[in-house]
Amino acid sequence: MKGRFGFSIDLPVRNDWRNVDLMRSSIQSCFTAVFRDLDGCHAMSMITGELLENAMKYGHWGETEQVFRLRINGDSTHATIVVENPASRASGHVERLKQAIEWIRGFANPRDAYRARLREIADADPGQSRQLGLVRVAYEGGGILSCNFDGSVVVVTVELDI
Amino acid sequence: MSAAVGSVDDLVAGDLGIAVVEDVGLVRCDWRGRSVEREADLTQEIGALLEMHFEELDYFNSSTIGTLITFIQKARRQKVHLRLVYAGNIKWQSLSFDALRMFERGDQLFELRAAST
Repeated sequence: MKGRFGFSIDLPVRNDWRNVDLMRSSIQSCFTAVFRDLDGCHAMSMITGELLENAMKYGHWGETEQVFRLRINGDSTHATIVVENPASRASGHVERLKQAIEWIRGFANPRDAYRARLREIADADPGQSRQLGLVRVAYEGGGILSCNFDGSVVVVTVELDI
Repeated sequence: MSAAVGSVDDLVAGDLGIAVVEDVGLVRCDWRGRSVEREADLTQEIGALLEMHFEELDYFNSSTIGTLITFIQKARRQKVHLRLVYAGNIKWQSLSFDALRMFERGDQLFELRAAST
């Protein structure tokens, strides 16, 4: 199948917390039907779940915009997972997102970044925001993160080798 | 998700089930299903070894990991002996739980065990 192997998923998702796990588990089921590597399938579904959770938590959700977008495409060796959602610069979330990605890149490897974040969580007050999802994407999922903001929509992209 | 395991009641929260079994000097909690709550919370009031089993858990989100770290810290402050048992042959569990070894201090108040499933 190699050589003509490719896949593409492109879906609008309603802004409802229950849809995060519906989508995450559906992605896992889909790719379990495609790939033999169950660990890789789990990584893709975990990354999808964490990105969708962030979109849900930090998206700029007005009265009319209640949908964000999930796109996954790739081939037998590589996948690109993209989540885009409405965002507002004024909320500060876009800046924090960029800072989080830069913070991860500042470490020698994702494992060091993950351990540093675990230490921060252990030392923080229980009520504080944990922001562990993106570091988990990099460490456990092996994903390379980037983001782009056009003034109204933020696009978070994760590239990973399968 | 909030559980008072001192009452030895099982917990069901959405797709997550935690079966609690109390024995002499031990409270065992078996996690099953998926832990995907937006704001997870665990509280405990016990005076025995607390052993949590994750081998049958299909998935947890990063909020659950954060909650576990807070729980580990709280258990240590309260001198509760906490043991987490995970599936060492499942990659995502191994990655997630191995990272928590940084909280082991050799005092046996907190320990991680990799089980073969």
